[in-house]
Amino acid sequence: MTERIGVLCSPLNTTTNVSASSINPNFPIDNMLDEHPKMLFKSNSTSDLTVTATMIAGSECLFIFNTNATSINITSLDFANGEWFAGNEWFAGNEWFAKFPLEIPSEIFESGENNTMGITFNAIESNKSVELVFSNVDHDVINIGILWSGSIEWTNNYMYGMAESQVDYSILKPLSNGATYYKKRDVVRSFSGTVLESPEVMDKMLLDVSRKYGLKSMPWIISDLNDDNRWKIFGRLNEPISTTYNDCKHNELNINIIEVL
Amino acid sequence: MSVYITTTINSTDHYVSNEFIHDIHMWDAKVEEVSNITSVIEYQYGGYMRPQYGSITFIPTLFKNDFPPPETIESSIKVGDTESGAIQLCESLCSLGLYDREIISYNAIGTAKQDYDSDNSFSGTLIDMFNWACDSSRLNYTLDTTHARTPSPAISKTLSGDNLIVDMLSEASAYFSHYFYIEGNTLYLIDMFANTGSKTLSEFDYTPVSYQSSEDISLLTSGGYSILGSTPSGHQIDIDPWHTAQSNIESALQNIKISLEKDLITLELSHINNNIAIGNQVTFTDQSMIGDTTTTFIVTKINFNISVDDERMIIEGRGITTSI
Repeated sequence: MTERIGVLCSPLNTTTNVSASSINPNFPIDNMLDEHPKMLFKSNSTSDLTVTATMIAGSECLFIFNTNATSINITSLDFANGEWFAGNEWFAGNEWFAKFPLEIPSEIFESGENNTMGITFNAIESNKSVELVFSNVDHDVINIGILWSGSIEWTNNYMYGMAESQVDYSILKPLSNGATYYKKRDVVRSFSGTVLESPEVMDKMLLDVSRKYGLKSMPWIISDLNDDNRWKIFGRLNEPISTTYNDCKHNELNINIIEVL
Repeated sequence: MSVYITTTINSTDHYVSNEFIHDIHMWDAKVEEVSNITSVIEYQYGGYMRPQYGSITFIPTLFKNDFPPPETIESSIKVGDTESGAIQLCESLCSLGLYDREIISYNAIGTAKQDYDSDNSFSGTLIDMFNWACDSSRLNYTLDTTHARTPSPAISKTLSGDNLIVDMLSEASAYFSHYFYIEGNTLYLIDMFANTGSKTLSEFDYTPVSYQSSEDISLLTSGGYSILGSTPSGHQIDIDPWHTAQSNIESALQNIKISLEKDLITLELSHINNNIAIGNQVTFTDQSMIGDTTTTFIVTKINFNISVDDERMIIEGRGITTSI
């Protein structure tokens, strides 16, 4: 694992054996395993929610998207190699990020923007059961958009010139008197830029991600050169990754990502 | 205001919309477009408010467990701020239309009951005829005449051959400037000049409006009797009579003339408003033209179009525009 993640993705959700302590039958567990963060799983009570899942061998990340939990306590993540310890807990804020090895609290991000948690760690050697306890400080019924674990691919930082923009799906129309009718709907983010990488990483991103999975939705972590800015989005490639062969040691990869709903 | 569409595919209910909504159910964004869900009165002056259900286009993943898509599905479309408070726009059997790798489209074909009648004579009143038609041996609806005219217009009509009962009711009610609609197991008979609810709209509620001037009518004729229209050089209208007496026919024609000689107002609302229904008297002020006006009209047509990037509701009716 590089110390300076630029663009990271996890193409395939390999989480299995997912169960929850409480389930609203109208919002089943399948909803947190599909690829729409806005298709919600919901608990059927206002108590803390315990979700148990198995991460298969080789998993290197754990993501939660679109949850209203104000804290998540991972109570039984116990890696044999000692790179993780039980009982790590994230409080307050709505967005968390931690990169293994943990340096809590310095690695915790609390942007409060996206109700998201993302953790990366060294690949686990065998299947691991993980138990997550979701709590909401106001005792709202817990909902979860995506629960995801799997292997990862990553690159260096975007080069200077990396861009963030937004796509607004709202409805806007002029009214008779010149005023505007506006119905706010979802606004998603998109990120684009160029990464300078080795031919080996270029091969992984071009073949193992872009060609193999196309424009499939998956979790992404995106950083710019300022490490304070880091985004975790559930998105997809807006277009297939393209590359320029600069010389025998360097490729420029154009990676354009858009958030999905 | 959100759109809630319950679609039953091979006996399984699916909760879908043009956006993700989590309420009592999780409404999945699987609807590409709902086009031309329309309630419209059959004649400009009355008749059956015959639902024209339009079509519903789904995103193919809705049918991932039911592919190829079945010939028929059922859909119920509601709009509202919440799932429990949503009001039903239509409930319909849907017949498979066009489908390809990007969309699966169904045409809504309604669920109205139908019956026919042969060689019958009608006398008494319009309400008497509707009572006869709604009898349990025929259409089997409960008749609601709360907003029908009092006294009910007299009918005298002999029909030969086979006739569809709903079509007969549509013609008869239009002739006497009534309209009717069916909701659940109730048939509502309503005077075209009755106000089923007054609604006032401001210029923040609608997009630029168009006005279509009234029909130019020179003569209205029925059963050999005629009355003059207001435009001597206009066209003539001949309507099949539902009475034989001159005074009854002329009275009916006068009412038809009043309806037809009003301007046709088409108003696109800024958003779907489930508070406006057919028969409502809508008043709005328009200060966007060369002169300021107020218009009052009775809604005789409502049209809905819903897609992933737009929601439109268009109401139409005949009314009078005056300067302010």
